[in-house]
Amino acid sequence: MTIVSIPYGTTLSDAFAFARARGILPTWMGTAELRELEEGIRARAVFSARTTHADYLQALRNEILTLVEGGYGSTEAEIRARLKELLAEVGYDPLTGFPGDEELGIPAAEPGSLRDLSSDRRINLILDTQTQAMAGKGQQQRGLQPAALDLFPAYEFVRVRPVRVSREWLKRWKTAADEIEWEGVSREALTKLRMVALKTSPIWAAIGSSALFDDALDVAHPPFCFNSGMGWREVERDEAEALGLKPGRAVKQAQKDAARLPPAVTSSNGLDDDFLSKLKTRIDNIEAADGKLTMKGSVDSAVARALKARQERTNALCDALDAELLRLELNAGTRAGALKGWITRRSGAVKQARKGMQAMRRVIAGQQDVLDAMHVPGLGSIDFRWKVGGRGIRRIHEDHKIAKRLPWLLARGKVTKAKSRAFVEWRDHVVVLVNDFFGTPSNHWVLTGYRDKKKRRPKSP
Amino acid sequence: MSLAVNVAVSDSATPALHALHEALTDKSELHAYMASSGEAGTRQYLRGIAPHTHTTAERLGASPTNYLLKRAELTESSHSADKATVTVNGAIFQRALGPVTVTARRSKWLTIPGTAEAYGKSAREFNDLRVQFFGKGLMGLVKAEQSNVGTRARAGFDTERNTRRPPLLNAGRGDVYFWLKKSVVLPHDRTLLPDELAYAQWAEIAARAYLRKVVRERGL
Repeated sequence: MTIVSIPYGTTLSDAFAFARARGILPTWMGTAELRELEEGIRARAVFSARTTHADYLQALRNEILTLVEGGYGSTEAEIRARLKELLAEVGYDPLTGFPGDEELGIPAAEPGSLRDLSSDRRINLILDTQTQAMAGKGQQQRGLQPAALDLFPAYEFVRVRPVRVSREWLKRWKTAADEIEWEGVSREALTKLRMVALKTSPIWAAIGSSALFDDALDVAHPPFCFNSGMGWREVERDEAEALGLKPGRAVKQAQKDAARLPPAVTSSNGLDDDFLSKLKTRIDNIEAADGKLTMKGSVDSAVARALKARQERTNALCDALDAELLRLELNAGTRAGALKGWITRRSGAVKQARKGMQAMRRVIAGQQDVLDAMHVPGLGSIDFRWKVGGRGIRRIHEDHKIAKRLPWLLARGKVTKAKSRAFVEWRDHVVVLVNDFFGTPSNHWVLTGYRDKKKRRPKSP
Repeated sequence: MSLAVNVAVSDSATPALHALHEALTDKSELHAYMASSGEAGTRQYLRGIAPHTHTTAERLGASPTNYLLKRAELTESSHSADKATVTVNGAIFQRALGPVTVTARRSKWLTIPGTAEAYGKSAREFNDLRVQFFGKGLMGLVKAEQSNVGTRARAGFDTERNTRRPPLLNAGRGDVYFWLKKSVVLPHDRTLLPDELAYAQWAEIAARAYLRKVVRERGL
């Protein structure tokens, strides 16, 4: 036996090939809506819930390939740093999403949460889940080859990685086994608290099915669910038979089910009319032209359904809120008034912050001034000027790289005024505004400076 | 008088040997068995040693990254008429072949984590680290408020009395987030991959299973 080191970039792995074969699918949809897409589309594309920026998705796909390949620059830390830098470059903000996301009504994400695309949690989850899925797919395919099936006809479902919170896997196993009537599953193993089944058993699809478990990924191979930490251990023939399993059934069907990614476009030439009509009823708005079926209709109908569901949920939430406010007004006028005032102020601040962010993007991109960029309670209209003498947004953008977040700070911060200066403070950030623009008093405040209280100012010699 | 006896030996006299000879002429299938066995064994081996490779994380009190476990799941195999191949992807496995010298490529320095917070992260993920010199060529990245590089006051120069005084905020070595090095040498670690004996045992198991299959199929 010889161990040979192969240069990076010449990987032969199945996982790499699977990852490379997938395209990208920008989407504003959340995880729940994405499940409604056809499985073929989900298998063929790299997508991330609420990620609408194609360049970022492409970068994500490339980084997954790098991670699978395992070569230079492939540690999760380096990949995470690169992705965060790219998100900053393309103007992503957890509160407003990507530029242009406002029209889609994507809700704001709390910075650092799972919904924040730039958070460690989110990026780690995507990278882990994608690479584990590619690795699992490869294991599944190779495991069903004749030699592997003869040597190891079964798998044991085992923990391969520690997790912080473990699911009740034995319970899930039993639920899935009951669902498929224990076909290919060893009852004897379960009495010893082991989960063993033939490779061809439908339990693997059941344990990874979102119809049974909400957090499942709809795959028949590891990791089965987000952050499961579970995988397969090959079980030899003797051991499988000792556990009451009878290898050798339904191999061809299992091999077919684990076949490589489905083709993106299927020719309808040669299909019977009644088969085609059955297919059409199954896939809404399918378009068949020039002998080809396109899946766009399926995507559009899923998008339309998801939009409609979102609107219904939003309307229901608004109705519930109105009803609660009315009840409070009737029961305790002062308290309801205060609550209503808080809600109005809060929603107003978010609206102004978004307006300000749009204006800031115009200022930076065009190096121009935007007057009346946003409104800050206690101050009034704020102008964003690219250059104000030696200060202004240009100086803040170059020195602190924080210009794009200033509208949010202005909307949330506490205002203090001193003659012709105003300071808006929020945590360690201080934004400086003046209203004597070039010595002329005005009723608009101009954003001129920024200071981070954590950084000490260098003392002048 | 002599008697001539003709003795004829036909193929049917040694069917088992004949079948075995045919089966072993093209070794693709045998290699397929060996590849599967080697892949399963390698994956199990890596899962087994992974919990014992967290020395640095334990020393710093950090959560391990489980890098080796993740690499274990990416173990694959392939076969041909000439050989059975088990593939492991990951820079870490270079150490199994010999010591590995790592040098900075796109930057001037390698960053070696020195605290639990920095472990498993890149220095680029922090936006408030500054360089700190410790003498004798030692350098590290510390939090900005702990660095005494860059200003007269930070360097310990008392501007009022025009004298040098001990720095107020000198970072101790325990506060270094990342140590800066030009290169490091990772020692040879043969235990990162299974040894020859293990692969020989897995190949033996595979060969026996293959022979059983040949006997079963040929009705021998």
